[in-house]
Amino acid sequence: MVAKAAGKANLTSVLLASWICPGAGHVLLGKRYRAALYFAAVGGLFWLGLALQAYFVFPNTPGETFALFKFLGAFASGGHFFIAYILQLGMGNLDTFKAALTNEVGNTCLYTAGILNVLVLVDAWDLHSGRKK
Amino acid sequence: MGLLLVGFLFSLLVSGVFAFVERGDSRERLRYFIKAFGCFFLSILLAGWLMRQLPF
Repeated sequence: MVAKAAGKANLTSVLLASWICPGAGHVLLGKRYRAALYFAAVGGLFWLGLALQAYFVFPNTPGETFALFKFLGAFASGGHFFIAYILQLGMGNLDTFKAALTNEVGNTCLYTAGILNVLVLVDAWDLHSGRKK
Repeated sequence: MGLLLVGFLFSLLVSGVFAFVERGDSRERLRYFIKAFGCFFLSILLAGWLMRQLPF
């Protein structure tokens, strides 16, 4: 059933699914264990970051260097970013976040989650195109 | 939550993803995972120790 689905899944749906829910693209490609690892790794790092007082930076946030890259780093986490955005987590008075001792470690985890999700997307692309097994 | 535990989790999760992305064979993957995990965790310990020596 999964192998049949893997044959039918097109690249756009694989990449979109992978971005919105890390690992979902790999489920479409029939790589369930890999999908579980990617989901746990990206989600784990993202929510660990927020638990450690990470905050979201938007391109128009004043006083932030590389604001666009920071935004893209968090935005690459896909669905996790949107859930946190809807729940208003990692937003508010930035000075409160910056005062926390764990803030920088949290930010590192948050951006790493996004960058890992980009790697997951590339991996899904490689699997779909047959460059990888 | 202790920052050492955070460093451990970070190393574990990132090395796991790297191993699956970089290696295809399961034996090679395990070796790569152990190597990457060791490098990450030791680097975190070393960087933490070095930063403790800084006067600011």
